[in-house]
Amino acid sequence: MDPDVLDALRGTLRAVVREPTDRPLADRLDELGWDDVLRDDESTALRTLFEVKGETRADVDALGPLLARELLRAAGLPPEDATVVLGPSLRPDDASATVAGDAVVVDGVVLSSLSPSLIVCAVDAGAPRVALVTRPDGTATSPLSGFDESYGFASVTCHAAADQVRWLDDGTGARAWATATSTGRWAVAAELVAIAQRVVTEAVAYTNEREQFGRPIGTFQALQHRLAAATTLRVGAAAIVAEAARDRDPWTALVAKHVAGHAAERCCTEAQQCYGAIGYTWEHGFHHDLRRVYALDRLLGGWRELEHEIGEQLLATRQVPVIGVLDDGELEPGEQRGRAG
Amino acid sequence: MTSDFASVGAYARELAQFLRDDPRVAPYRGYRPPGHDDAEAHYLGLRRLLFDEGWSRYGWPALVEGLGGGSLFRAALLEQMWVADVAVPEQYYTLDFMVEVLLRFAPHLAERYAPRMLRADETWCQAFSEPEAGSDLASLRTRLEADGDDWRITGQKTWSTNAQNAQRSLMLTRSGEPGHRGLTMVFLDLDQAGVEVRPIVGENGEPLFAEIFLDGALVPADRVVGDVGGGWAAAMHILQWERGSWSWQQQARFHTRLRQALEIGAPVTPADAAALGRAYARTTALRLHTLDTVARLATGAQLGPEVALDKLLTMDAEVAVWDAIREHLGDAIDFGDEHAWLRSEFLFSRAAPIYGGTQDIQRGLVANRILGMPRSP
Repeated sequence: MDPDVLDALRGTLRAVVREPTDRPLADRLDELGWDDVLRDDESTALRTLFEVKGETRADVDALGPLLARELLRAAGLPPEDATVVLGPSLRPDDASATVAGDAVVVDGVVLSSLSPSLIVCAVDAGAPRVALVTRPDGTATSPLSGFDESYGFASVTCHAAADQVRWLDDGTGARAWATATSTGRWAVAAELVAIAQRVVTEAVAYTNEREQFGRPIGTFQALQHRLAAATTLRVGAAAIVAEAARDRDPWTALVAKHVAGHAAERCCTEAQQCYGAIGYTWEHGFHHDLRRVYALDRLLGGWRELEHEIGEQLLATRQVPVIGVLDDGELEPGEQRGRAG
Repeated sequence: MTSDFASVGAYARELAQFLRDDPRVAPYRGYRPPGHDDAEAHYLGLRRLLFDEGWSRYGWPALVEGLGGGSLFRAALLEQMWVADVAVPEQYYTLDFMVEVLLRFAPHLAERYAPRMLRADETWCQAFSEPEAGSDLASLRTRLEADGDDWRITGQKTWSTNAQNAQRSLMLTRSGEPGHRGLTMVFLDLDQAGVEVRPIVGENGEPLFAEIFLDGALVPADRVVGDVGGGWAAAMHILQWERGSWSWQQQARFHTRLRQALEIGAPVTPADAAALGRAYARTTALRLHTLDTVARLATGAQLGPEVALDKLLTMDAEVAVWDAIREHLGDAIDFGDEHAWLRSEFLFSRAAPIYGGTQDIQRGLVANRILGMPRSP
């Protein structure tokens, strides 16, 4: 995307996510001609949306619709108003439903208000199976208490009869679920990196104002080095997130989610140390960022478990995948930036 | 001038095949040097081969007998050598930034001397640090004094990588007032009276670097690089190239070393997976960030303090990679001769937060110049 166009898009998205309205974000984006923007450069547009969401800490539902859209598209199904139900652990490989004879019992977590159709994942004989469930009467949903209650996590349970369940072909369903959750991973990673950047920027502003021992505390190398070390992690994470959005490879998305969660937590830790006691108060507001970072870190896999998963993968394959290619040739639209070497 | 490859990717693919298949490369594939100086001598042959076959001439202009193409060709050479486990001679990243600074500030010296270095007829070194001027580089004291039309140098340099094998040195000296305005860069012959080079043995037992003692060494008038008093600008120009190509080739080395450690194999311990995951993530972060840096350098962009981030990412990755390798290999790396070369590289990795600009200095640069925190009084 042309840098000027990207700047304009960023500005527009900032205004859109801050609109004081209860209308769903998806409707507001539609009015922008979002489909045209996505057709032009989907990776950059989606990444920018989630960066803007992180930067503004707006409570808008961007991820729920993205997961549903990605899943339906990857399954070769027409778009419809659907909600993806994740398993209670929020891990992509966790089941959000169990099979009971011909019926399906749904027990999972959603990130947004419920659509007429639910997309669930069951694990049957070790293999994931994905179904579209017409939301039955008596579906119970309740907000989940947790680190960040403004993000919109809610539990959902229901019992769907056989005629309310459409199973996807096993292979198709598993692939579509993996595609959607991988996209979700780098999207959340983009949001985390943007939060991390703002957290450090605000901490720097505070350290330049706050004086102790007769000078701004920002002049102390002890604090400078904390924020610089955290920034190093954030910058590295941003590079992987950008590549994950480009290459759409599940492995890159996994690594991106790991580094983004790690960098965001570290940025929060160091910023909080700069604030001292004031940062711990409810009034200060830093806790909103801290809470959101912990909530987003858990979503689709926390950074510590993903670190372990990356290592397990290396040990299992005895291979070290190389992400990103050095080349001066332009990539064709949609062309994979594959793994070299 | 452009090269005869359609793209850097096409060059990299053909080069990869050459490095993998050509019998003349065989002595260099998987070569584990018995010692640092043996390695440098061994690599003279490799440097000649890559020059004669043209591979190391891409990315350089015709002025220095290059075959053209942008600097990404050089980045591709460094990467493909590591992929093929053909260790990159130290001269290749030295070459990157020393030839760059000559091309910019003293093209007459680049034209005369750079082809000799590319051909491996000569080896060069950089000499900036002094016993009393490490992180505080601008306080250096080695004097450059006029002698008719020429100049004489007196003083002492240290931590100069490979100086014991080098014939020429790019040296930063003091020609005037204290501080960074009184500095001048020169291109000095080391094989002359008035110059004594003494190797320093590092903690891995290898003489990686050396001290240089200077007692009235001659610098002919035409060997000043850039302006008299303009040494700081030349040093800063070097820095962006040094950061870019060093960081880039390091990530390629880390990928290869991680793969080799996994191939050696060992009983898996509970700590293995997390350490390997961290090492891989740090290496990937380094790779993708530095990919952007080398691409920007190739467009001719002048980079500033942001290259400190490349350096910091390299340190994080180097330490994490070698921690993971040691964790994974356990006693196989800790004891015995078979993997002594890995033990040596492990020990070298402990210097990662120190060499070429310490972690603490780089963090200060990021805080002051990028984050906008005020300088310490």
